[in-house]
Amino acid sequence: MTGVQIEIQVIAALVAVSCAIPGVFLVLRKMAMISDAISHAILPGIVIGFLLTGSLNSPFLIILAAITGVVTVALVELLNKTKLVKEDAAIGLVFPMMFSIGVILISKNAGNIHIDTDTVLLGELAFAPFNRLQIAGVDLGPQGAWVMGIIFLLNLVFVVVFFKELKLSTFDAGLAASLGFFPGMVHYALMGIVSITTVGAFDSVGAILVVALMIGPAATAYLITDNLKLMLIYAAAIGIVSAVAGYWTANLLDVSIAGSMATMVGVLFLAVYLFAPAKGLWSIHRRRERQKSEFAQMTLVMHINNHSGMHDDIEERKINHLKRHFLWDDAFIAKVVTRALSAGLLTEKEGVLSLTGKGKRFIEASDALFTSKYHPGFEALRKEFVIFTDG
Amino acid sequence: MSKTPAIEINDLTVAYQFKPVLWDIDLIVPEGVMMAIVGPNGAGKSTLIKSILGIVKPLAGSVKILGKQYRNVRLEVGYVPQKGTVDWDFPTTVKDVVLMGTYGKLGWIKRPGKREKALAEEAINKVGLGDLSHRQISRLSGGQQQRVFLARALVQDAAVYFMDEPFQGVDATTEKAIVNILKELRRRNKTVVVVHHDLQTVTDYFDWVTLLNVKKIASGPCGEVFNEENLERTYGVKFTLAIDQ
Repeated sequence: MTGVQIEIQVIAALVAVSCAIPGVFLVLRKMAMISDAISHAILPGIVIGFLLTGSLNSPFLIILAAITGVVTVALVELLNKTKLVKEDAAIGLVFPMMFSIGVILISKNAGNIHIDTDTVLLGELAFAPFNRLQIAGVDLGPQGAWVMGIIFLLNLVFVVVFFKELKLSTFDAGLAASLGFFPGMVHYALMGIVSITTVGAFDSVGAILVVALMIGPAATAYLITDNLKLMLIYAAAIGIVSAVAGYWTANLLDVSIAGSMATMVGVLFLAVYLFAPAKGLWSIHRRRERQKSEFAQMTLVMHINNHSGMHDDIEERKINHLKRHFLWDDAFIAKVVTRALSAGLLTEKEGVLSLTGKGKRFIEASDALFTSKYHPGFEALRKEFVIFTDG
Repeated sequence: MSKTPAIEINDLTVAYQFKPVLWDIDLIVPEGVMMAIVGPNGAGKSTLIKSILGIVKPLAGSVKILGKQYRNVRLEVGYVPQKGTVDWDFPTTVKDVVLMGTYGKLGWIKRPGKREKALAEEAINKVGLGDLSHRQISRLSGGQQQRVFLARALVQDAAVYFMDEPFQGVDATTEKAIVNILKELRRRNKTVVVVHHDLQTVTDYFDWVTLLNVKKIASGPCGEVFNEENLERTYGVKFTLAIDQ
């Protein structure tokens, strides 16, 4: 790996982590689209900042653009509060207006400034290492790495210090207000962080791909964990993996780095969406299948129990008659019967099923399980009766 | 009673557009009582709580809690909302939500420590969720979710509590848990105000009652004001309730 390659990956990873942190809270606040709005609406801030400073990396430009982002959010809320416009429509009204102001400013000054819409929207990570930070002639590394490093630290400190406040105001703004935590203030602080991160990142990955890095890793992490702290850590990790994998894919295929990174975010999300341990489509499907077969077991044993003893009824216990009672197909009946027999819950004699001692205990245990208020789940039954094998 | 009342309301009027919802309410709730607010639908029960908590702006009148404006005694006021107000899919556990009740006394930045965790643990056991303390909150039944809110209110350790129909649509287990919490609060000499629908249980659970129908019909100890005459004036229909007199 060359020095330039390492530098690009470091910048990309810093961008990814910086985006993942506020992204988690945006996803949990159901405000994913706000990041899209902010990424477009900061354009006039960037253009004005650039016109005033002549640089795309000056702190003044970042602050000015961040303010534009917060103003956008404030305008959206102002419109929303009138109750004449819903929030999604308010977003759709405000950000194109801000964005178009930016576009007009660029086109008006296109002759004499070196900035165009593509630069702002798409960025170019490959050029980032050429923009060096030099102090007194000493090369301190790429400017982008410094800008993103500072923003990363800012985000990290923000979320570590105000973790409790962010969590509370995200989960229950009403309680946060009544306990004196000013959820409105926390909200605007978060919006400020989102804006600053977006501005800082636009030079590297472009304002629009920032959205991918904010929302994608957070939405992916949400599928893996039920713990907010872990969600933050996973989102950061997924962001880094996407950034590095995206870089190498771009290298290999000779395509846009930012585009590959965002694609990797999508690929990782898809993989988790399909194969996450608890919430993934595949495990949901497996779980349903398993539950179906477990309930079939119970239903069969229960049926045999209901027609044994006092109300003995041999007709009801004939294997050949099960199809009529349960409306299951032959293959399924064969499977369920075989499993109940091999688990020792039932015995079979001349096509008639009977309950065993173990089957009796199984009925009692599952009865107790389903009539109690706090049933601890299938686990105990599974352990004791070993009939719920996969397959 | 010469002490400062828990809640003092003077001439409170609230209107939504042209319709008065609460009309010239004067109400004094002494400290340490368990008060039910009863009245028909649209009587302004929830609005009364909301205007006490400053969520709804009154047209006229004043509300004082412990002799002060609500914003000066926020931490002394616990509110148990109806459970639909939060996102139950949030990545958090029962214990974590209950711990949020301690945040107010902790203030900014400080994290809950051993003492707060012990308090939360205790409250969780009191509402009968001891086994579920590490469970993600979406994997709870409706009644269990309601009890999480109660446990959270308990650890908040406020002086005055407001509950908006905690008994609505809960099963017997949860109803019992709520009653236990009410008893616990009474033991700690808290003032509790509950919007309540079931007239049959008013005298069992509460010692004080306010009958409301836009105007205040009556307010005072159950034995004095919770009678058929006042109920008829509140609900506008004849009542033959089995009230223990």
